[in-house]
This record gives sequence, C-alpha cells and structure tokens, in this order.
Amino acid sequence: MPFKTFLAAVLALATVFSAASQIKVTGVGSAPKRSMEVRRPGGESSKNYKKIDDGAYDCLFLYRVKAHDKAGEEVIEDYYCMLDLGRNAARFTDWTVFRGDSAIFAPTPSPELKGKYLKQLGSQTYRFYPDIIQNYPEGNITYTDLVTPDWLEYTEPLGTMEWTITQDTDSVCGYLCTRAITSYGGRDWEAWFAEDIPSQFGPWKFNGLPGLILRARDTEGVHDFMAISFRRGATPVAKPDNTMIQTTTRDKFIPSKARFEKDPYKSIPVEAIQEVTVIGNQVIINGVETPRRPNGYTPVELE
Amino acid sequence: MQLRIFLLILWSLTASAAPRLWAQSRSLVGTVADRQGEPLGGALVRAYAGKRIAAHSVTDAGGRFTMKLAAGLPDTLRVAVTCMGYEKREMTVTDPTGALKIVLQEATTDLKEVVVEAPNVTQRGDTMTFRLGAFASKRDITLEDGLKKLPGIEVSKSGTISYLGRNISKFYVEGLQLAGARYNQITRNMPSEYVTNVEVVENFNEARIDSGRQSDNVAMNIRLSNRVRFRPVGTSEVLAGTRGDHFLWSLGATGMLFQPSFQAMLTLRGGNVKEFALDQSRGGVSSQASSVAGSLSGDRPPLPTERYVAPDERLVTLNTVKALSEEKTLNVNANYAYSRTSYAYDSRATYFAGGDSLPVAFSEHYSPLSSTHLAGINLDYKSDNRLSWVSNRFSGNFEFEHGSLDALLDDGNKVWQSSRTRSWQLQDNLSLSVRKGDGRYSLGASLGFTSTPLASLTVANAPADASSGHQSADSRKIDAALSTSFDWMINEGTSLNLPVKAEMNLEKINTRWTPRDYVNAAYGHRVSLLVRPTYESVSSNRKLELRAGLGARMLLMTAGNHASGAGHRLNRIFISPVLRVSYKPTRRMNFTLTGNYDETTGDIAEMLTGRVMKSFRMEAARSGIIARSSSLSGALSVRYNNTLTLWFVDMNLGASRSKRNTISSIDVSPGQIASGYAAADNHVDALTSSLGITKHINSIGLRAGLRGGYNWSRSQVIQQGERVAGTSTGLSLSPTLSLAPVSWIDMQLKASWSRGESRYLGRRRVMSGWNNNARLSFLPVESLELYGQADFVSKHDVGVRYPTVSILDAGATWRTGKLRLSLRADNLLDRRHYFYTSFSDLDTYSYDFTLQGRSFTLSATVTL
Repeated sequence: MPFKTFLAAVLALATVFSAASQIKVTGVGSAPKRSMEVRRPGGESSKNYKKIDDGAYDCLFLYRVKAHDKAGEEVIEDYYCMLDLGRNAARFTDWTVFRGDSAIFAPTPSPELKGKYLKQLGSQTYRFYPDIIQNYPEGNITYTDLVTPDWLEYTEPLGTMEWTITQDTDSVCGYLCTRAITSYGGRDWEAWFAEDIPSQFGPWKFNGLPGLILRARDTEGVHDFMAISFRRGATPVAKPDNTMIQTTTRDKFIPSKARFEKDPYKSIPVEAIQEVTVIGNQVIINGVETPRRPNGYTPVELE
Repeated sequence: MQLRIFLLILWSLTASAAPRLWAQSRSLVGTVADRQGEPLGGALVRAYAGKRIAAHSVTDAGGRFTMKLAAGLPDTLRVAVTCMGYEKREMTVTDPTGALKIVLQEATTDLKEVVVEAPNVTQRGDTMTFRLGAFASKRDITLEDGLKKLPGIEVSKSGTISYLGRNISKFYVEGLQLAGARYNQITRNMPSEYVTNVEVVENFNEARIDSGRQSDNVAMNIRLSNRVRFRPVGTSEVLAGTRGDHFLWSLGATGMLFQPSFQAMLTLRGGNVKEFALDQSRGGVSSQASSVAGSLSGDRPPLPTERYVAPDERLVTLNTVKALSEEKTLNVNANYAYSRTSYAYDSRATYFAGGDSLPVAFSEHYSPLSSTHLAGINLDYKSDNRLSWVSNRFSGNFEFEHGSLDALLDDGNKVWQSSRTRSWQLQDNLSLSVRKGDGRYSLGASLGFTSTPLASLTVANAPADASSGHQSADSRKIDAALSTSFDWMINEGTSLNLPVKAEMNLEKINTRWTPRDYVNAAYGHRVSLLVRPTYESVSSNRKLELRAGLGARMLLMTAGNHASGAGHRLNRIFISPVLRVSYKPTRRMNFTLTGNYDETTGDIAEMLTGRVMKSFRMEAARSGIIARSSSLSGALSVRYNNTLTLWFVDMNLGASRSKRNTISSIDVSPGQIASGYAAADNHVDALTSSLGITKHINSIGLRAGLRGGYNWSRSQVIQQGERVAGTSTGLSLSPTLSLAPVSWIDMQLKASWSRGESRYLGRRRVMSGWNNNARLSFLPVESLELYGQADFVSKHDVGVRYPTVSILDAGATWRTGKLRLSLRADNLLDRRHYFYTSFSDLDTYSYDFTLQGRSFTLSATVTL
C-alpha cells in the first residue's frame, strides 16, 4: 500500500509540477489540517439536505463485484450500500455515508458522529461512490458520481428498464421473490422482487417491478446486489447539498467516467487543478477526493 | 322462424363480442386514494392472470395509474393494490372500460423486518475472514467451541488450532498478541459471544519488515464485538455436584479488558470435575534428568480424561499487552497452575521372548497419582515498523512434580513407587532487523539455562522403605546462540538470504541407582556454525514461488562419561540442502512441494551407559556412542478453499528414508525389562499421507468434515538379542458432522475409526477401534436446551474382541439474559470399566481402566 500511495503521490505531483505556476500544493502529510479537509456533500445540519420523502424502511445491500487485481487474479470486492426507502422515492448510497447522514437526522443530531463515519469512509477498503435517488425529480432518477475534481450528476427517466417477469420464485432476505429479467447498460440482468413489499424501487438504478427488488445480478456474475437486512427506518430520503456538482447527461457521463477511472491523473485537465493534498493513501484535488480502486474499475454500465 | 334465427345469431355475436373487446383493450386506468380522498402516489397496482402477474403500474403523485394490458388475457383479472402504510386491497375486474376508483385503508401492521447476516466468509488477499455467528450457535460457549465450527479449522485436544492442516503460528486479539503461545488461555476462557469475526492470515510474517516474503506461517486474529471493547467484561462460573459420596465443585472467573492500546485478561479457576490447569499453563520444563528419573507416569486410554481421572485443579493466569506507541508493544504473561490427578487400571503386557519361546507376560494393577506445580512468566517487547524490527523475549519456567505409581502384582505383592522432580528454566531471545536500501540486516542472540537439581525415583516393597531401589538424577544445560543474516533484494520478487548462526551448549547429567550402585556422570559440549545461503524468487504474477537453500553446518562435539571413563569427539561438516516450490494456479488452490536432506546427531543422553532404573520393572542403558542419523525426505501438500461453496480441502503426501547408526533394543526376562540402544546401522523408511475436507451448508446448519490418514513404515528393532525387521501400517478416518436442520434441533457426531497392522517375523497382527461421540440437543424454546450425548469406544485386537463401552450423559441448559444455568448427569448408566488393547512392534498391551461413576452437577455462569 505505501508503494501505491507513493505512486499516486508521484503521479499527482508530476501532473501538478507540469503546471506549477498555476497550482499550489497545500500539503503532503499524514493528518489533514483544517484547510486541507476533504469537501464532501451534505453538512452538519439537516438544512444542508433537501428532504424528498419520509423514510419508511432501510434495506441494506451487500454489493459484490467480481474484479481482477493487477496480476489478473479474480478478487471479490464487497461493498455495503443502503437503500433508504420512502413511499415515493428511494436513495441508494454507501452504508457509511448513510449512517453519517442518519446521525444528522437523528432526534438528537450528532455532527461528531457523522464526522466519525466520514473518517471511517476515508479508510474503507471498498467504497461505493455513486449516490442515486429514484423518483427525484418525479419520474426520474438522479445519479451523482465522483469524477475528480467534480461530482457529476445526470437524470434519466424512471421506468426505462423493460422487465420480463418469469414464474420462477425463490426466497431472498426472508421474502418470497419472483424473478424478472431485463437488459440495461450493456448487460443482461436478473432481479428478484418481493410482491409483499409494495415498492417499485430497488438497489442501484433498478426499478419498475411490482415489488421491492431484493436481489439483482448480471448474467455474467460480475455484479451482484443482495439484500441482507430489511427493517423500519426513520432517516428521510434526502439529497445532500453539493456545491461541487457539474450536471451532465448519461450519454456523456459513461465515457467520461470510464476515461477518468482508467487514468485519473491523466484525465484531469492540468488547468483545473488548483490544490493537491495527499493524506495517507488519499489524493485530494481541489478538496475533492480521488476514488481508491485497489483492483481497478469494474463499471456496472458498459454503454 | 327466420326472425328467431336472426335473433339467435345476433345474441351469439353480442355475447362473443364482450371478451373480444376485453382482449383488445390496451390499458386499465384508475385512481388510488385514502379514505379521506387524498390521492396516494407510489401505490403499486398489479393485475393477475391466475397466479401470474399480467401487468403492473405505479400511481403518480395524483394517485393515477395506467396499466397496459397485453392481448390474449382472460376475461377476468384479479387486481391487487398495495401501498406502504396501507392495507393491501384485491378485487376482480371484468369491465376494463371504466376507470377504477380504489380506496385504501391505513395499515395497522408493519412489514416483517429481516436481517440476513453479513457474509459468512470473505477472502481478501491472504486474509480469510469468518463471521463466527454464522457458524457457531449459542450452544458454543467458549471461543474454542466456536472455532471448532469454522470451515477448514480444527482444534486439538490440547487447544492447538490448525487451518487446512497447518498449526497457526501467532494468535492475536484485535491485532495484539495478548497471550503469546499459550493462546488456549484465551480460547478456553473467552465467551464465544464476545467475538464477531475470526481472521485467518496465510503467508504470514510477524514483522512488517518481512512483509511480502515467502512464508508458510498462518496466523489468527480475533475481532471483538463493540460491546466488549473499551469496558471491563468477564464471565464467572460456580458448580456443585456429587459423584457417589464425593462432592464435586468448580469455581471460575475471568476478567477482561480490551482497549485499542491495552488488553488484559485475568483468569482464576479451581475445581475437581475435570483437568484443565496444565493444558492452559506455561511453565513446563523438559530436561535430561527429569526424563531419566522423573518420568513415572501411568498409561492413558483413548478416552476423555474426565471419564477416568479424579482431578483437583487450580489455575491463575494473567495476560496483558500494552501498545506503548503505534509500533511498540510490551507483553507480560504470568501463570501458576496446580494439578493433582489420580486414576486406576489393570494392565497386562505381553512381550516377545525371542524365537519360539513363549511370550513373557506381566499383569499388574496400577494406581497413578500425580501432583504438579507449574509457574511461568513471559516478558516480551516488540518494536515493529517497515524499516526495523526489535524483539526481546524473556521467559522463566518452574516445574515441581511429585508422582506415585503403586502396583499390585499378580502374586498379591505390592510395590510402592514414587518420583519427585524440581526443574526450572530461564531463556532470553533478542532479535533485531533493519532495512536499508535493497538490503535487510538481522542480528539475533539467545541465552538459555535449564536446571533440574533434583529428580528421583524410589521403589519399595513397603511404604517409606527405599531398600528396593532409589534412582536420583540431576542435570544442567546452557544454550547460547548468535546469528546474523543479510537479505539482498536482487530485484522485485528475487532475493538472496545469507544467514550465519553460531550455537553452543554445555550439558551435564549425573545419575545414581542405589543400592545397585550404577552411576553416570555424563558431560558434553557442542559448538556449531551454520551457513545456509538461500535463494528466493516469486514470479511477477505471484503464482510461482521458489526457495532453494544449501546449508553447511560445522559441528565440534565432545561427550563422555566420567563414571565409565568413556569419551568421544566428533568434528564434522554436515550438508543440508532444502528446496521448496509453491504454485498457486488459482487464488483458491495451492500446491507446495518440499524436499530436504538433513543430518543430525544425538545428545549426551547417549553417554548414559550405566543402568538407570525407570520403574520397578524397567531399566535402561544407552549405547555410549554419539548417535547419528541422516534423512532424505520429500512432501507434497495441496490446499484448496472455496469461500463461495464453502469447500475446504487439504492433502499431504510425504516420504522419507533415514539412516541411523544406533538401533533400539529391548530384553525381557521374567520380572524385568531392559531397554537400550545398540550400535548398528539401520534404515527407517516411511510414507505418510493425510486428507482433510470440510463442507458447510449454512441453510441447514451443516458442517461435515472428514480427516483421514494412511501411513506405512519399515524399521528394525533388536528384541531378545534378535534383530527383527518389520513393517507397520495405519489407517484412520475421522468424520465429523454438525447439523441443525431446524432451529430446535442440533446434532453433533464425532467419529474416529482406526486400523493398525504390523508384520514382524512373518506374523501379522491387526488392531482396530472406534471412538465416537454423539450429541443431540432439543431447544423447545430458544432459552432452553435439553441434550443427551454418548461416547461409544472400543479398541481391540482383531479376533480378541472386548465389549464396546457406551457412556451416556444428559443435561439441560437454561439461558436468561446474562445467566446460564446447567444441570448435568454424566455416565448415567454408571459404567465402571473400559477395556482396550494396543501393540507396539512385537509386544501387546491390554488394559482395564476404572471409570468415574455417575455424577450430577448444577452450574451457574454469568457473562457480563
């Protein structure tokens, strides 16, 4: 890991030095100073969020990705993500991010607790960066993801997935589920939805089935979203304020994200870099972190 | 008539048009609102054709829905409307043309909450993480009980943990080594419920400076539940019961504190129900004198000790570890243990008497009694970072033992035998490593002193009478070693290691057998210098690893016996090449091939040419020459684990050929057995193989395991002056099964079958045996467990069958909050005898052990 940190730092610094006249390196150290803190969406008060719907249930998903490390060996990456389920909208994001937001919406809000979760986020081996809100704005999905130094956001209509419901049934997360299949984003998917849970939503962008989707996986076995917990929840479905957002479209986002993940430091325009900080194994550009990918990027959407 | 026909046709057309209209309709529309008329957005509307969902839709913010219907649907559809917080409503729709107006009532029940636990096994790099709760149940009280349920992990009777057939080398709790090598003090006293995850790390190097180097070591790290971190926790137990007129008791308490920079664990236990103290204690000392004169002990059968031993045990252990900084730790471990055990058995030993002579047989009744005090202290300092490693370990061990083995002979005479030993040992090991550029420099030093000032054995025909014989012995030993090592990283993945190690030891042992006046005053010192250049290489994809080393050891050894005047000197260079190749075709599979040639020499015990009394029946004398042996061995091990299917497999094959210059001998005469070694070149050939498989199916709580082994050896012994060659083979199979198909039943089966065969002098003998344990638990309610368990054991010479012994137990355990109450009834059938036979080379031994009778105990345990 120090080698990776070193390499990341060298790459970042090489990029930085090539435009030294425009860029200020504010620090390379083991602990962040206040001025070097990572800027993240949301804030220390519920006023820093836009409430979309009351939270009704929390559905925790284990998102398992079959990736390949640099030696080409198969590696399993486990991400924990929360589907914050309201009646009219749902938000799917990293579990630690959700827990941090929950601390703000708790009866006794605790910015300190949120700070603890954000710190934990910085050391997580695998972190799910996208923040996806279904049926917001109404009839749409809002998809936000990290493409340093920006957060890119686009909307796409809800209900574009054309499902074929089969007669296969199985038990997922304690609920009787029915299998449905669809093609989306260049992959073929199968989903298992529970008729007993009246929600059209599901993990990631999956939606449009007559019951909550508790499992979705692609037919090649690369991506697998599995519900592992379903319980009552009180955290509202809310969108954190984010001043770093650049809006785009899905068609532009997918190639742009792929380019970025292939070589983050090469894809960032030099003139866009104003400030670089290296904290531990994190490289922060203009106050925005760069995603850590121990095994490279395995996109959910290919097209 | 024509009009009637016309009307009939018109009616038919009208009647058949209705379903056609339905079939041609493309959508069903409607609104969903609550009882107050407020539109409900987000409600799901489904149309069913039979049980199949034919169409579905979601209401918008205005409560409106439009459902497209495919052609060909039946006339009547069932429509169901559901919405969070509202009761489900179902209706039958036959008229598709009108808009549906659906009103939902607020729901009074919530959806069922479900927590499917986190993944049971995950593998990241060399670390395998098991979620203990997925494999262990509430019936698994201690951490050791829980570990036994994990895939690929086995725990021996002594508490040693192995993973895929390899013993773990280090045991950590939250990244700190709390108890060092005596980790069973933790696994046997920490409640299983404290632990969330168990991590097993393969290719493990303790020092960070060695990170990335080839290693066969496996380490285990325990992750604790948040509720037991930061605050003191503990468990305490009190037990009372009866066995006949004997009062049974046990008291125990363990206090623990786990903080990020400090961990401590204090255990106090005492009782007379089962043995536990010595297994969990450091402090044992092995020395030449204690093995000569203090080894008076009885035979032990293949039964759990609590079945036949009456113990009286005390144990105090303290383990602490302090993280002085992020990279420095200090361990202090101390313990005191006392164990007093007694049991009884009848023995019949039949010895080969040479040629066509009738075998010599001895029959006795023995009553072994042993008292042992062990005390040990360990101070361990480590400083560990990526550029340097410093470790200093000091240990002190003290062992005091008193034993008696009274024998009642066939003729009615009785022999009193007693032994006494006092031993202590001090040891210090220092290790330093520094990385500089591509090089790594290491320095190690160790100094140890072992002393047994007193070891004695007294044999008498009456109590307190030493006229029959008294054997005394004392010994001292100093070991010192100095080592340096230089590692040069030639390029990424390739390194050259050049270790040089100098060792020295001085040893003395005196023995005296009175009144027969056999005396030994053996001495010896040895100096050796070992150089072993080693080449290590790892392929760029890390699939192939190679290690090749060529050791050269120069040995200067002098040994003799002042009593006999004999003396020997050995100056020689030994060569010992080592080769290891490891190949990982996939992340889940590993093949390791090792081969080595080694030469070893005996120690000064070989100089004990004067006879030594081992018991009233046995005496021994050694050859007086320095024993030497050389061996060529090779082994192949295969390990496979699949965390998705939960198959864990390990397999080992080994072969060796050894050449020795001494051979063990035994001479049996009526009343006496003399053992020793004679000078004679001989060979021992051996083949060994083992297989271990575990498979889990979590949905039915199944853990099925199988461990099997086969070995073959060919060797020679001298018996009654006759050199005898023979072969022996052994086959063993040990299936285990743990099954909880429903929440109120739990079954466990541990079986062990073995078969041994020996061929000497054209005679073939076969021994086989079963040793099975089965346990069946019922849980009528979650807090109550009713169980029964049984041991079925038999071991016998084929053709001379002893009865199989069945020992039944039953009990109940009730848990409420932090309290656990257990009522046990052991040996319900009050079995009092266990028979079994075994053989060694040409001799046969048969036993009848006296078992502990029926007992009843009640215990209460509180876990905070």
